[in-house]
Amino acid sequence: MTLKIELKPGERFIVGECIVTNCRQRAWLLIEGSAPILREKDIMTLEQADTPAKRVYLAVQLMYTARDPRLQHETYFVLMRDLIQAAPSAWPHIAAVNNHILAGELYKALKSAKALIAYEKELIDRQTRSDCRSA
Amino acid sequence: MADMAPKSLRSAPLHLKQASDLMAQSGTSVAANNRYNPLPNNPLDFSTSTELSTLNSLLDGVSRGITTIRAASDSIAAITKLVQLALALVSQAQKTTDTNVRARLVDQFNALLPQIDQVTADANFNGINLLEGGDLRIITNQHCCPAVSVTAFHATVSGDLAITKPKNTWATNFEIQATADNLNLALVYLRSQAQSLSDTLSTIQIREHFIKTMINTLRTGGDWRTPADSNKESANLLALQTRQQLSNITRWLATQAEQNVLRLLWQAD
Repeated sequence: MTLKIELKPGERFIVGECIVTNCRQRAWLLIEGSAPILREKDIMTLEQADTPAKRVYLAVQLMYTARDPRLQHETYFVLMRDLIQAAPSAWPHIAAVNNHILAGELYKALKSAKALIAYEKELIDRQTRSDCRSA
Repeated sequence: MADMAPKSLRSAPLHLKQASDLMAQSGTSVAANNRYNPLPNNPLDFSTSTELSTLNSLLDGVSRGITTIRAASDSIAAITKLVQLALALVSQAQKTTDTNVRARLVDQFNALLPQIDQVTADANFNGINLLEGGDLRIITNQHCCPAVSVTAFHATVSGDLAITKPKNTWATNFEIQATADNLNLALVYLRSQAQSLSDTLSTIQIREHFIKTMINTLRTGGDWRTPADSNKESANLLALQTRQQLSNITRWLATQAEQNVLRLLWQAD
């Protein structure tokens, strides 16, 4: 599969176990192969992963970029189970993440995990709006 | 009880306190089949057992695939040893000019070739022989694609190994060298196939581990995917958010992150 990436000056991305930085001008790259590729804007840091869904995203991200993804499997399922117990309606989003991981499509699993984060925000915002109305 | 809570919780907004109350109640509520009653004909309940059944089928297929690949890898290793034995005979022939000795070495060489073909013929597992053209397709997800494919080859002397019998009993050095070159090419080919199988095996083993962990999670969860009151989900999530911050899970994530390439990006910031 060929991936086309456009990078702004100074933008970074991960390829396999390397960090590549685009130095000066805007650049367009075509990348082929099966190594993990992650753009800077898609990378979540530990500090940013401060909600249950964001921690699921982080676990998937670690799985995608790790040498041995098996080390992250248990953590991922603990996070997944805790989130579903708290919000069972999020199951379709989690199922999408699971199916992509099962198919070996970790990049797509990350996209589904982003949708999960958006859904979590929607649930919490809905409650916040409801609290404001009843206050 | 509120006085014993950490200061952060005591001063938290109202919905956080509601969340912590809810989480304290949730254990008894589920057990008493009260607030968290499943809806009648709940599709989520149905899908749990269906999913377990599908996952177990996937796991069976994946486990069989792993065994088939391992059988092929073991056979390639055995064939490699036979080819190396053949090379040793070539080496002996190169060290002598005695035509009788060379002729005997050729006989020993020729006797190895059917042994190679026999190892190939025996590399059959579950009706699939990766060394005799039997392609393998391992399905690792419920939608069946993309599957992991293993393209077979023909590990026979007259097939992809292309090892030919000496024509003139190694009468000349030129002929002996030709056999040596032939065998070295076969070794390169075998190593390449072995590496390819090893890479595929690693991929499949990771999927197998994921499926097994998923099955264990679903089995121990019981009816944990029963829909709760949707108004409570937000409060549950906020309570979980706080609980996770204090738990080992965030420490474990931090440990994993330290060993990951991502640390290079975070350190550079």
